Parts: sequence; C-alpha cells; structure tokens
Amino acid sequence: MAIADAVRRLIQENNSYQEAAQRLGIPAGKAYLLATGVPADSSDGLSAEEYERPGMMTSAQHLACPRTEQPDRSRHVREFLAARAAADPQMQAAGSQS
Amino acid sequence: MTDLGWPVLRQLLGPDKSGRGAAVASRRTQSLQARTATADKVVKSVCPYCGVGCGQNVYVKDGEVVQIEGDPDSAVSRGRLCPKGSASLQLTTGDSRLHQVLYRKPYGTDWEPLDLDAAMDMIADRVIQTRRDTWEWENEGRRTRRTMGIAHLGGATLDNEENYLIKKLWTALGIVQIENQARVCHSSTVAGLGTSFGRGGATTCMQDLQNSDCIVIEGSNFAEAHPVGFQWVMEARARGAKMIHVDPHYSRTSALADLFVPIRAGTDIAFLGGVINYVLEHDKWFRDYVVRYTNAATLIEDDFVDTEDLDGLFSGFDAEERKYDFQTWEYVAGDVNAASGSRAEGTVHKRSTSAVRSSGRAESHGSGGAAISTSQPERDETLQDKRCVFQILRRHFQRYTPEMVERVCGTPQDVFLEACRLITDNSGRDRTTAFAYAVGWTQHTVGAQYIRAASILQLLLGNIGRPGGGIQALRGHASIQGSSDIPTLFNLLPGYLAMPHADEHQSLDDYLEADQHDKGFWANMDDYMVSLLKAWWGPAATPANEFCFDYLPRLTGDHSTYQTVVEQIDGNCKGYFLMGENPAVGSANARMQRLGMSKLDWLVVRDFSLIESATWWKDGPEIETGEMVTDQVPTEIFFLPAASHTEKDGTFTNTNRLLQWHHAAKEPDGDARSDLWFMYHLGERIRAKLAGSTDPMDTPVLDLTWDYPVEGSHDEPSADCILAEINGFTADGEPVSSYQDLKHDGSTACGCWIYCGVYADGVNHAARRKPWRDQNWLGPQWGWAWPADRRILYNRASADPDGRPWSDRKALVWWDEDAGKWDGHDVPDFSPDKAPDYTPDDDAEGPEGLAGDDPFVMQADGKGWLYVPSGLLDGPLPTHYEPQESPLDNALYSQQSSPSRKMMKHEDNQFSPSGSAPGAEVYPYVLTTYRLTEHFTAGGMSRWQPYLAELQPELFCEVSPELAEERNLEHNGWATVISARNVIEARVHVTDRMSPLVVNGRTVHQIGMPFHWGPNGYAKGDAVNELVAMAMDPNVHIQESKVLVVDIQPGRRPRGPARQALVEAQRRRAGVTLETGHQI
Repeated sequence: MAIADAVRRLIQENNSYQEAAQRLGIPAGKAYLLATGVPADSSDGLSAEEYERPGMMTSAQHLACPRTEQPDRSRHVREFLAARAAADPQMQAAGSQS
Repeated sequence: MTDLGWPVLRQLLGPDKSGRGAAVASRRTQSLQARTATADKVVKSVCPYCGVGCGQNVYVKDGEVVQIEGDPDSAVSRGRLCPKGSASLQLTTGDSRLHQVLYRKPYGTDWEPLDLDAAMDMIADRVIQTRRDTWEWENEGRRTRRTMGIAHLGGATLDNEENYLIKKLWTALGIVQIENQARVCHSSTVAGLGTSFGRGGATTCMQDLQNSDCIVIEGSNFAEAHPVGFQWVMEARARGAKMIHVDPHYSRTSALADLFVPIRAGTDIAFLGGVINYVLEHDKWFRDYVVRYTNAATLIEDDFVDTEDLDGLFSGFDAEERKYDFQTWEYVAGDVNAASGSRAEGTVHKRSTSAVRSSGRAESHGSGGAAISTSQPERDETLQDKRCVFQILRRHFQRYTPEMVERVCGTPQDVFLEACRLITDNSGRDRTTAFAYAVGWTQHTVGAQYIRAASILQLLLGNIGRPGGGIQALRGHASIQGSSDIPTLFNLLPGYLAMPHADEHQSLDDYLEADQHDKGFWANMDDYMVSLLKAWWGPAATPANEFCFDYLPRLTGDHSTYQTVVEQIDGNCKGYFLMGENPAVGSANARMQRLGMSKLDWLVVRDFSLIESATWWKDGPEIETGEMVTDQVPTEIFFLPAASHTEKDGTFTNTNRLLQWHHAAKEPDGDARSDLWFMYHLGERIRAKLAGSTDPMDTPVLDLTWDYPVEGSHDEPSADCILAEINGFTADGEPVSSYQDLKHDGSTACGCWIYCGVYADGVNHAARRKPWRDQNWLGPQWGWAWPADRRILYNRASADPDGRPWSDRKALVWWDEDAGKWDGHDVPDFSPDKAPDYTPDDDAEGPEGLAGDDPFVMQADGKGWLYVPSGLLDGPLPTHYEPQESPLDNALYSQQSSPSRKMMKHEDNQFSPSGSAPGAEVYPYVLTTYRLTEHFTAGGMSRWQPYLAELQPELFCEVSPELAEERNLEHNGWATVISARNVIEARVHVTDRMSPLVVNGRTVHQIGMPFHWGPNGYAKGDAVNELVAMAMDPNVHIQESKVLVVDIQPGRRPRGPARQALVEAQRRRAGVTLETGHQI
C-alpha cells in the first residue's frame, strides 16, 4: 500500500492525478484506482457514500482513456445556413420586414 | 519474479502469497493489454439497440474500432451496457456484416455482385419509371398529386437526419406510403398520451424514476427489455419505493417486484378501470389537482350516452360504417373538433369524412391536442352536475369492481386490492407514483385506450408533471421516438403536423383552418407549417404559392404499412424500400409480408446482413412449402450494405425525447454507406435525371432544397448541417433558438419545430456531455430534449395554482415572485414569465389564451383530459373489450370486441372464432409475445452476433406445468403452435412463470413466446409473427400482437406442403371463413 499512500499524499499536495502518476511512474488511471479504490473508468456501481470518498472526481475516465474527440459544432453549419438564407429572396424580404 | 517460471515458486518467493494473482499469471496474460489502453482515441457514441440510449465510448486504433464500452459520464446509463450494448463491437466489426452490393435479377436463383454506382443508377431509374407509371393527379375528383406505386419501411434505428431526408425526398416525389417500426410499436402512445396531455411522448425521464415512491410496471418487462434504464427503478427501490409488476408472464422484472400481479393478456383496461374505480370510490383522488388541472369539471352534451347505457357502445356509432360520429361527445357550449375535422360550427362532423378519420389523424396529437372553439366550455367546479366529466367517469367505471377485475383479468382480488393500496398510499401532495409501460399496452386493437386509462389514473392521482410521477412510455428502438417526431410515417409531417388530406386540405388556408387551435402553442401552427415548407422548398416557397403547400401529396385514407402489404399483393404497389426493418419476420402476419414482396417489381433492402426480407425468394418458408418457386419470382432485388452507428454522425432520440449525438469513429468499409449517404446521393441522381423536366409532377423534387455539404472519401453529407436545418434558421442565416421565434411570413425555415433549439447559437446541444455527477438528476446538460430541453413535461403541474410546490419533498418548478418568473430544477414547461394568477381576456389567443394555472400548454383548454371529446375514433373513455381473438366472452358488455377496430379482410389473414362462438375451442389457449434481454426485436441486429446467439440460441415457448400435462408437452422437447394464420415450432420450456388463471369461472392457459427469431443468422428459428394477425387499433393502425389464440401440440411442425395443409385443416375444424371474427 506504500504506493497508494504516495498517491494520496501527492493529491493532498494539490497535484493532479496525471502529475502524481508521472512522478510515480504509473498510469494515471492506476493512480486513481490506488488512491480511491474505484476504477477511473467508473466501471463499478457505487453507493452515495462511496462517491464521497477522499480523492473522488465527478468524472475520471479521462485518466484511463486515450484522447477523446467530442466536437459540439461543425465548421460547415454557419456557411451552410448563411448560403441557404442568402439564396432565398423571399426570405430576405420577409426578414427585413419582421 | 516472473522469470522464476513455476507459479508455486512465484507464490512462495514473490509478493502474491495467496497464489491467486500475479503469481499465477501466464506469460501470455502478462503480455496482454486492455484494448482500451492501446487505443489511439475515444469517440463518443450512443448504443444503437433499445430506446434507453446508453452512452458508449468507442475506442479506435489505427482507424479501426477495437472496443466499445459504456460511457460512465452518461446521465442516462452511468456507464452500464446490457448484453446487446456490450455486443456492439461484434455488431459493427463482426464477420456477419456484408460490405458488397448484391443484386438479384428478376427470376434469378442467386445473388450476384453489383457495382455500387451501377446499383444507385438502376435504383434511381426504377424510382423514376415506377413513379411515372403509377402517378395519380387526382383520386375521385380530389387532387392527390402522388404515386401509390412505391412504398418505404424503416427506420427506428436510423438517425433523425436520415429519417428527415427520407421523408423529405419521398414526399417531394409524391410517395405517401412511408412507414417505420413506430407504426407497429408505439403509435398508440402518440394518440393516447397526445389526446390526454397534448403531447404524445413519455412525460418524464428514466432518471426521475429514482424519485418515485411507487412504480407500476405494466405492459412491460422493463428489466429485460430496457435493462440499463431499469437501474433507476432499482435506485428508487433502494430509497424505499415499492415496485409493482403487472404481467401475464413472471419475468426478471417480476422477480424484483414487491408485488407481482398476474393478469390475462388483453385485459389491462379492465384492471386499470378497476384501479380508477377504487380511487373514486375510496376518495383517493387529488382533489385540488383534479379540479384545477383537468377537464373533470367540464360539462358534456346531453346527447352523450355512455357504454353503461348502450351495453358497450358509446352514442354516435354507425354500424354500417363501423365508425363513431363524435358529435354527441362534445363539451357544452364548446365546439370540439378532432385535428382532422373542421372548426366551423354546425359543420364539424359533416366535413370530417370517414376517410379523414381513418387516416391516422389521432397521431397528429403527438404535439398538439384536439382543437376547441374560443368559447369557454361550461364547467361545474363542484363536480356534482351529472353531465360533468367527473360524474361521467365515475359512472363509466362503476362496474369495474375488484370482483369484476378478478372475473375478467383472472387477478385475485386480494392482489388487486394490494396494488390499489400501494398506488394510492403513494400518491398525493407528498408522494408520487410512476407508471412505466411498453408494447404490452400499445399492441392491441384498443392500444390507444390502454394508454388513456393510465393517463386518467395518473391525472386523478395528481402524478403528471411531478417528480417521481408521470408516465414512462418505454420505446424499444434507439431512435423510434425520433422516427415518430421526424416521421417516416404516412400520416405525419415533422413535429406531428398532419399530412394533408385530399378531402379537406386542398389549400394551406384549408389546412390551417381545419387543424389550428385558438389557444395554447398549437395556435401557432401556421408558424411551424410555413417554416417547414420554407426548409424544404426554400426560395420556391413564397406567399404567392402558399409556400409550395400544393407540392405535398395528399392522403385519401389508410396508407399504413399493413394496407401497403395488401396493395402489394393486389399489384398496386410495385417498388419497396426497406431500411433497417425486416417485415418478413418482424411484422404481423409474416407470411403475408413475404407474399406481398413476391408481387413487387423491385425491392431495395439496406441492412447489415442478409435478413429474411432480402432472402425470402431463395430460402424463405414459402420456398420450403412449395408456395413459391424461386425462378418464378419476378421481384428484382438490390441489397445494399448499411453503415453502422460507429461509421456515421447523427442523432438518436431516446425514449425520453432526448437527442444524443453520436460521432463517427471511422468511415464505412467497402460498399457500406450510411442511409444519409444513400438518400442524399439517390436524390442527387434522381434530380439530375429529371433536370430540365417541364412536367409539373417533377417540380417539387426539382425545387427541393438539396444542397448539403459533403465530406470524407465517400462524400458523406454533413449530418450537422441537416440537424441545423431541422433546428431552423432565420433570414440572417442564424440558427433559431426557440419555436416561439418561428414565423409564418417566410422569414424563418425549420425542418421540425419541436426540435427547434437543438442547434441554438450554432452549438450542437445534442452533443453535450456534461458528466452526470456535475449536474442534477435530470442531467440538463447531457444531450438535448424536446420540447425546449424540458426533461419532465407539464411540470407546471408540480406546483399548486398559486405557484408553490405541492410539497417541499416533490418540488420541481415554482413561481419566483421576486424575479417574476418560473424557476426550478427543470426548464419550466410554461411561459416563463406568466404569473400563476394570470387570467386571459375572453378574446385572448395563442399561448396568451391559457391561464396561469393551465399546465397542459399544448391542449386547447390547458387541461389534462380525463375525457377526450374528440381525437380518438373509438371512444372518449377507455372501455374493456375482449381482444380480436379471445377464448372468452366479454363479461362486462354484450359488445365483445371494439366495434370500431380495424381488420384486414383477406384470405391470408383469417381469424379464429372467439368466446362462446362455435369453433373457438379449436384454438383454446392465449398466446402472448415478449422480449428477451439478449435479443433485439425481430433479431436482425442480434441473431447474427455470436455472443447474443450463444446466450439465447433457440426459440422457445413457456408453458405452465398444468398446460404441459394437458397437452402432453415435454420440457426441452418440441411443440407445434398453430393459429388461424400459420403454424410454427418451438422448444418447450415448462415453467411456473406461466400460471393458469381462473377467469370467469374457467381456467385459461397462457403461452409466452419471445418474438426474436427467424430462419436466418446464427440463432435460427421460426418467426412468431407468422401466427399474428392484422387486426388493428383504428386510431393508429397498430396490430394486436400481444394477445391471440392458438392451439399447441407436442412435436415438430410439418415440413413442405403439409405445413399449410395443417393450418387449413385446423381452420376447417374451427369453421373459420373469411367472415369469421368480422362481426361488430
């Protein structure tokens, strides 16, 4: 448990899990597991009390997963809508009167 | 230490003294790494199976998907996946997927490969030619502008963007026979909830079940059919809630219930009516809620006569037409019209032709209830007037006593009463009860009325719009809610606008006049409709041509999928598209589905594998029986492999109206393409081939806005842009933020008004993924829910008329007097700054016409409707009728079955005698169908997956020990099950889970069968839908697949011609003719 204690100590010293892991030479997800007893990818069902354990994060999967792509907008949309609206004379006329 | 070799040495000398861990790890094990650890990236996605919409992490390495796991941040699923979701990797990357276009030429005996480009060209040519050959400008003197020669089916597993392009292109081509799984699954829900509350979707979300004090699961096997969603039921139980399961079949849901209530399949209205009667007789209803928030006090015309006085009929029944004229059902001093009828006084029902009424108009209440005139209906707030809804309700259900429930349902009285006590003890100011149901309620000839019964009960108990309350409609496919909202359905336009009907809607003015309300948000229907027309026809749509309203093809009656099958058999429908749907085994009367396809000129099937709907001509049941001969089947068939959910961008709408974006992890391989790609590029080809045409039939498709940007090596159209069109935009090219910003002057465009807001501010809100632990239980920043991102509908009703929560324990939204607006844990489903004491002027219109205590804002009077004066074809109140096929007579009325039920009269769709009619004894047993966790619907996405096939390899029937003894059935042996339609075989599972019931003094045996099987794939078996008839709810044309009658015999079924011979012999014994079962 020495390494688990080391992780907890580093977290208490305001290091992130990634920083603690790097210093200890272990994966970040493993650091989280050692410190909290809970897998970083949250593949477990926890009670309300377990969620309140020291060191728990509201979302920790980034510690165990590779980079995540999650765009919430597209470069095409603005151009597309602008072109659609501009190509509609009736819409333009109505819009100017609204 | 690992170099020591022997595990025992490592155990003795290393840190693992127990010898259970590192000491015994082999070198191979030590060399392995989790696929998730070695992946390059994670892409966020959503499970493609059921309607829960579990979050998925898709792990990608070197451009290939290597693992799929649950997303632990999901507010819906919290990281869990069921066996199907866990098998997503196999679904998407397994060997069973095809990546090559296949072609079957007319009369061909085998498939041959075909170039994708050539296939697209051929298909475009088929569409153009068939359309031209079958074009119809008029029908019986009324303009229709359509083709009845082409039909489409699918898809509830398709993205919203795909369904949008399907509906858009086909409609512009004049195709009206457009349907999907929503027809056969939850169409009853749209009509039942829509007429009761004003919207036809689940009133709450699964996460909110954790706040329930009691959960009633009925018509659903929640734990098995929506397993990850069921965790919220378990959360509630962990907090002390009670769970009741009402079902003919004891399942995994029942095993976790506090109270299991056995019931005869097809009698839930009697059961719910019994609970309603209990609530009224014992004064358990929530008075303040009922008086102010429902139409309990509204008076009904003197001419109304209830079923109690007409022995099972309501007033206004026309025996010749087999339909009701609901003029006698009206409010006093109001003029209530169905959305299908006219609003002009004195002409309401004269103009509402039977064709209009039968065109599935009830589903247009999916967002917007029935209209009433601007005059206030007369009300008696004391609820004493015998003409008031409350007194009519009381009288209507007064004979639904515990004794009657036992007599009709077979439910022991003590069990029934215990259920009543649990429900009523857990309803009121401080406690709420939720109902959760699925197709055990919807798939009946009175399916919409089943849902109405639950709606009445929940309104009486004051459970609608409140945390832990509501009605959870559990829809079964990943995006079947979406395929209803953006409808690949014949009778609807996006956002539950009605498809125009040739009888009444020859102009936009006619259309709006017939359907628009005076009060509430449906009063702005013109804004929604014109904005849709602008989205579809852009610059061509102007005020001068009514925004191209005339481009829309018109309905003339029922064009639902079952009617289409008859049209195929009759040779009228010549071309068919199937996209992610498998009617050859998945639709009622599976044999008739195949017979219909054998009469087609051409068929296009898009799916992952060679499903039965693609191969029936080669090795289907009719080939085996000799009814079909392969080289005599003329149908030309194209099989095009489809992309999986990991290979395309898009949104699914889950069963809680929640839109969730799923990102493409990679491009599809080989010839596989998304349905978005297929529709867009098919449209491009058709438009190119028709370019320059001066034929007015081609103008709508040539004027269609069809200019989406494409990207990637396959030129995939941008799903983001399509979603942005669905959201809507202004003349400035800015996304619209709210449907309240839409206009009817042509200055806004919007593909689906109820989805308005999903792309507000240029942000794809469906892609929001804030972890559930960083927000409240409703997860307001996970995905986006319609309407306007509200998670619990009608939540104004969670506060009293003064705007204060009914109790602190059940606070959801409340009026903030200081801020002058509504506040709370959810987006208020109400005008944000309308004070609770707001009283509209008599002539106020639109949303301003509703008062500050009218929570049901899509209803014309702002009330929850206990009594539906218009909008449903089969009655203003639910009434117990026996199913189309039943071993028993109706104990409540002489009227045996629903008098207005719809039956398909056809030699291939015959019915057994029922009740005490001669011959009924030949089919003495009740059959009900259900799902298993490990398979998915008709099996197209599960029977080909080895993991799932291994878990549930064979079709079986569950029979009680008593029935097994009576019929000499052996556990693990074979049984032959015969209906008036067909015969199948299944393994026998003798189990206490199916118990005989004593019903009206007689023992009734029920047989349970899962319906996932078909002859293709790894897990093969007969299709249970061979047995099911086309007998339908008249409102929505959904089939009755949850209850039918059969005989069961030991042993395997016959092969070859002997199979049909057995069916015919059984029919002869029962005296079945074409007329059997068609009595009123």
